Amino acid sequence: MIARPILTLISALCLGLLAGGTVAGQDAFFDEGNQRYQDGDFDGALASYARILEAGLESGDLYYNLGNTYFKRGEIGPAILYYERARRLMPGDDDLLANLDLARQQTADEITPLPEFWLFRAVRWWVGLLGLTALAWVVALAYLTATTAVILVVLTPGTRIAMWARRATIVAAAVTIVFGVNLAVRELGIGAAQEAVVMATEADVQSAPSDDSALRIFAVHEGAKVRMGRRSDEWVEIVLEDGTVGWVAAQQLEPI
Amino acid sequence: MTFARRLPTRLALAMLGLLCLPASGLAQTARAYLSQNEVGLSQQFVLNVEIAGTQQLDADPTLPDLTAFAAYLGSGTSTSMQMANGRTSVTLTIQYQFQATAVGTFDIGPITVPASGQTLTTEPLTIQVTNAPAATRRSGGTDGGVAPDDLFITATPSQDTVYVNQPVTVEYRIFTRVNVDGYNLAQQPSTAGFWAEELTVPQAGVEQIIRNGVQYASSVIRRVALFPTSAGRKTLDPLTIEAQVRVQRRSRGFFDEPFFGRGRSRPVVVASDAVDIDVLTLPAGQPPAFTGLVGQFNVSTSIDRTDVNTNDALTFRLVVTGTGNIRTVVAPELGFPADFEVYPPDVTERVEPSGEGVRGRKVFEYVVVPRAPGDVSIPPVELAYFNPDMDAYAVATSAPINLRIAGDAIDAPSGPGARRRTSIDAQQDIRFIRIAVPTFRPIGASLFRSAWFWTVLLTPLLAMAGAVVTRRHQDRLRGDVAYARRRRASRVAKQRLTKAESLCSPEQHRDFHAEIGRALHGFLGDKLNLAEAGLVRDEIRSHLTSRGVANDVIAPYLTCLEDCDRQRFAPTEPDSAAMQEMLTRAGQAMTTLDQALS
Repeated sequence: MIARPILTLISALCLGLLAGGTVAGQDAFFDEGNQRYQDGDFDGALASYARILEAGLESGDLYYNLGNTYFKRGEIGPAILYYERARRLMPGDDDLLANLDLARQQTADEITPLPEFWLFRAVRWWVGLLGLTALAWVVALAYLTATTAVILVVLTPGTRIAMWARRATIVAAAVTIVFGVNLAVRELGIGAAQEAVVMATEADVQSAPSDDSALRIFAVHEGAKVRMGRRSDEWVEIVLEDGTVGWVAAQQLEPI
Repeated sequence: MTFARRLPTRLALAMLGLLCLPASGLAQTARAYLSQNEVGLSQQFVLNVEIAGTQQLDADPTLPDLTAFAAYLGSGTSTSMQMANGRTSVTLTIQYQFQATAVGTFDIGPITVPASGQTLTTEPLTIQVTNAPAATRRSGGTDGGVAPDDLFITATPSQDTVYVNQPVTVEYRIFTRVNVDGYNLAQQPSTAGFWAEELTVPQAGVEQIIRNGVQYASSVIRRVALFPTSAGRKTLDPLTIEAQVRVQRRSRGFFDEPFFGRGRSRPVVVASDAVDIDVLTLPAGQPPAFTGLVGQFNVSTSIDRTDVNTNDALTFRLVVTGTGNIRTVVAPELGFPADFEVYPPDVTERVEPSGEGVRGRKVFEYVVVPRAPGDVSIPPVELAYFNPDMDAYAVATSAPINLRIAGDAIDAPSGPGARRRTSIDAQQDIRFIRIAVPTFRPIGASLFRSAWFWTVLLTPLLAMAGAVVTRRHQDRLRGDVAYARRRRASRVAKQRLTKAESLCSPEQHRDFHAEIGRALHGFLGDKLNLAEAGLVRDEIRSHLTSRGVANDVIAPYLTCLEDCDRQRFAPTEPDSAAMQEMLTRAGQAMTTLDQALS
């Protein structure tokens, strides 16, 4: 029978709504944090924002505000970490990119990124073009349009409606596929390397996962963004944006 | 930091001078010292008489009578010449060797030395003769016979009490009576609470210094200027070195001379004492522009041109020179006219870490661009500092600079990057936080785990499936007669029964039964897609049996059909109850048949 799956769906929907609703009064904490930030009480603002994270909730704006607060406290490492986390949720945000740029200027290391192959750059631009919410809406609407059009084609054969519905199906299906792939790439993290930010004031980079001072190659400083590679006990292989490779003690990094 | 420096041995210093240089103009002095201040009974000791400024004596020195406690063994003479700072100094040393013969503390009276027509006198000395076993040297430890008196380090601060930011120079010296091949700084003392500036150590090398009546070879090993960063009592940790001491073979007499001591080197660790320094807070009454400079400073300004056009770039130099914490000088407030564009300065500093304090200069070079014509003056620059020598605050001031600017006023800054300083500063702050409360989502939430996603994904799929089913049904109704008849059989039969119900009265009983018969026949015909007209009892039975319908379903149906036919042509009128019953039976028969066929 057809009634049972529909019932299941409706109950699942209700559960979903509940999960997204107010659990811990996070809106109040957000407002409180903003107020404290504006009063210059950055420690207090941090505490307020942290309670939202403790409740297991996140948002791009929340990470952005946390980044600002750490920046104001002069802690460049955490500031960059939270800006980068915000970037995962709202990649194209103008304010975010401006602040991240400013925070990077305060770091000790000047790392010139390797020039990127234009195709990768284009793909990255395309993947990050829309915010996650907007992207989800576009895909959902296109999908609903496409399926509605298909239903019209099926139910009204040979009419003018069916002819228009057929065209609409093609367009909407194309939009669904293009943006749906985009959404899937974003949500499944396909091709996204695991990155981390250096938290220690100065972290020695070794040529092998060992403390031996003879193996020390150079040092990276607080706020540098690295790509994480292999792991060996407490050591992580890192790749700098300029392509330099080395090993760093894991506790000196914080994954984004 | 480890560095080693060769420390020449005493022997090298006590080189025989071959040249006999006139010692004119140099004051002649004589002094006496002992090889040890404390000796064991029947041990040997050496009384040295050193005469500086001459190499020849008019007569032998006159020794006081030491027979009360010592026996004379013999004497020797050595001459040394040292060149330092372009001056040559000559020393003659006469060594008298004695053996202690009595226990106690004895005074050695002044020794008179007739030299170059004068009579020189030495200071009196004291010697202690103990009962210590003759074979052992008085030794403070196990360091290969190196006593604490033989090798030690002193730390001498230039002052015990300083103001915050006033430098105190600490000089570390090594004193030795043993042969030291070299040394390493084992532990650099921590300079917590100070900002340290290492000073260069003069290369003068080794000096001979008499300390507590004993001669030592001594050398400066480190000199550092320390700027206390806060007030209070501060303790400098000891400086520790590891010295390579040549251990001599223990033998008597002639071979006891260091020259023949071909022993191995062994490391000996010695440390200086900790040094306490009292740091005072600066007195009250600081000038408004005071930024913590302590010392003596001068400030001067210069500009490369004084006759310029608007939009010409000028170089304005501000030079701070002086003694003190020059590295901490920050650019003072500059009173440039409002229509000057001033770019952030290029700062260079040079510190000379030599001499007693720290001297240096710090240069701030500004590029300035006047935007409006006229005669303008750059006001004097003031630099406030505290002078610890005078115990007072002072302000260094530069001379004002006058400029003549020709040309037209330029309103807009030219080109990018030439914005006003204020707007550049504004650019340097981060953008404001987000005030609007956003939509939060669970951390680590994936779209693919949300109910919304699956609802939106699956509902249209179900709808499409429904549409396809509907469409197929319609198509079949249109093209498949059997399907169409089957689908509408129940509906048609129900319509006929309803019509029969409306005829349910004894007067119309023939029509009533005819209608029921039609309903029963029609239902079966539609269901099995047969022509209703030709359906006789046996045919019906065989059709239904072939479709697997049980006999107890077929029988009531056929009975009902027969009853209907019979009643239709019966002469008597049935009562309405029987008719009602007929209607029910027909309905039931069709329902059971429908279920059996489906």
